[in-house]
Amino acid sequence: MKRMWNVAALGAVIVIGLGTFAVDATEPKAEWALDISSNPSVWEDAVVEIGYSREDDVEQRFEVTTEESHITSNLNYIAEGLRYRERLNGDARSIHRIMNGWTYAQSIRTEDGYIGVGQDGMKELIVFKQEDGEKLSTFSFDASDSKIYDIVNGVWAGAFLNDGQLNLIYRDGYDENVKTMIATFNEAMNEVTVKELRMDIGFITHVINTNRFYATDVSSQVTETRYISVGVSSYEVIREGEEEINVEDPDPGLFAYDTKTGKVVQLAEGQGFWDDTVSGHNLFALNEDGEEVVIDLNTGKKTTREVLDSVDHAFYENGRLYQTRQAKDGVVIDVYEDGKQISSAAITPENEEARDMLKQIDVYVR
Amino acid sequence: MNLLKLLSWEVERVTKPFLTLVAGLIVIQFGYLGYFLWDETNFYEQLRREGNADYQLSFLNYLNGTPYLLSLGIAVAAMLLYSVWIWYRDFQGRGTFMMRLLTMPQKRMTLFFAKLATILMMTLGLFAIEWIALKLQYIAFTSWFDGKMIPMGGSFEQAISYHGMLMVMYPSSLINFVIHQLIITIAVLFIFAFVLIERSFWQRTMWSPVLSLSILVVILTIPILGYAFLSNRLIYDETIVYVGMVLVVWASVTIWLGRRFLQTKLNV
Repeated sequence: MKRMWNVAALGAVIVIGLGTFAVDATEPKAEWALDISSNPSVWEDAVVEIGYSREDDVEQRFEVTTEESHITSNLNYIAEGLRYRERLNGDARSIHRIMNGWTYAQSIRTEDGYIGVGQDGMKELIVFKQEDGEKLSTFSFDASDSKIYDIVNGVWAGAFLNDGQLNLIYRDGYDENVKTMIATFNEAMNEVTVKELRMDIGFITHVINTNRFYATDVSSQVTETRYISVGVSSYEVIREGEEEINVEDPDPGLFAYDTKTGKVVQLAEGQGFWDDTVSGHNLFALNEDGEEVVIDLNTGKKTTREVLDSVDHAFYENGRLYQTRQAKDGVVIDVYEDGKQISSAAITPENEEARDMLKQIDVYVR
Repeated sequence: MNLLKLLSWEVERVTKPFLTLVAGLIVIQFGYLGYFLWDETNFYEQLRREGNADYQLSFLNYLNGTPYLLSLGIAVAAMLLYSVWIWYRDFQGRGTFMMRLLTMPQKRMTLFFAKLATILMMTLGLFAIEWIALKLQYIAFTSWFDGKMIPMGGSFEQAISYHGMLMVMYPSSLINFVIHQLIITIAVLFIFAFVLIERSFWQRTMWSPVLSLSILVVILTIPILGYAFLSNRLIYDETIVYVGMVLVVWASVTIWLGRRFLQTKLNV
């Protein structure tokens, strides 16, 4: 009987210590609500992502829909796996599977599924194409060929489709010797031609709607257009003592690669833009005055319309413009489509934990 | 003898070494905390006199100190060694104690599970004591620096979640804590299987531990090699299922091996 006391004492220590830990680990999490003021149909399939970040606290993320609010950061392994399975659509699963072991990839999403190009270290360049959202075909180019080696070694800006052919824009060389290159894969995707893209100034940094590696859910479906929206940057030389450092500096304005002339053209000049997106064959961009510039990427025709009185925090998603602003009781989200406000909603705290976080949250809609 | 009696008896045998270990850990940690507070206060006062006192201290600075990490390392090493010793101790001397244990009217697996439960209770006990110690150390840390008006950054939760070892010991999710405990249990089961296989060879030579270790290395590496082969075909959610299956297989195989060698092969 006396011996039992040792077990009981050790058991009590375990219960007290791990009980304290369990209480801490199961502290109530912040809960949020999506209060819709107008046009609820806009929010039917929308997911509001909330990010909480403070220097002296643990970062947290939440997802809020019309029906529920749940935390998505620091999940357990099982919940993380289930969430991954839920978020990865059918056609993206095979793309993620094929990218296993690769060092990098870029892709775009078409009606048929994903099409893109990846690399397996410095050994191979692999092009892949999905048909009917399922069947996946690949072709590998050996990087021992100097042309392929240069592509694999380059800094990839993004991919686009032109005449059914996949194109990859990348940078070759660094600093003042940088060249913008374009690799075109034939429709059978077993041959590649490479040419230099003559730029008047700077180099291409990104091609809109390109998925980077495993982030296959960030871009909408692409349609072939004459102008391909791209980002352009130049090097700015900064002197530190006797040393000269080249720093990438984005060129203001909107740029596009003209597939007809093979040149980069400026679609909108000298102004800063909060965000831009391509939806269908139109490029939408919001400037700092709250005006929306709409450019037809087939004709290059530009129209401008007043949308917002002032811009605080705005972004495009799924062809819609969202503007968020902090209010006393929550974060207000206004939604605009075709230059007109179509809905308004607010993210509001449901409990004390959420109220404490309110001033430090960022809100995004997908 | 039932499981509880055997467990009580095993726990009693380990009480003194366990209390010594706990006392050692507490002395090292609180001793180092005292030194850390004194040293940082002096350093900060010096900076203040020079007009450069513009940096913040965090609890993580203390947790990343070598003496603190060493104390955790000592605890891990002690538990691994005791997992081996809990069996070998009974094989020591003439007319070994193990012979008496094995001839008692009970299932031999009761002995196995009593020893396993002892190790797990000790491990959980250490986790529990360390959690309380961490809380007390944090209270001492913040009260001391508050009193000295020395600025601090970061919370207790942030310090734990940024610390390589503590984030595994005390994950933010209870389910992950249970999973980590299962992995610790499997590690103990491997050690038990090693001892029981090694003690079961008819002729005990220097090759016995080598052979025993080789068998376990094979069991350990087959799923790892399998993963190396499958890794390019599995995506994240499937990998989690694979790892779960491997853990179940490892636990089952080591328990089966322990049972087989304990019941039919053990050589006293």
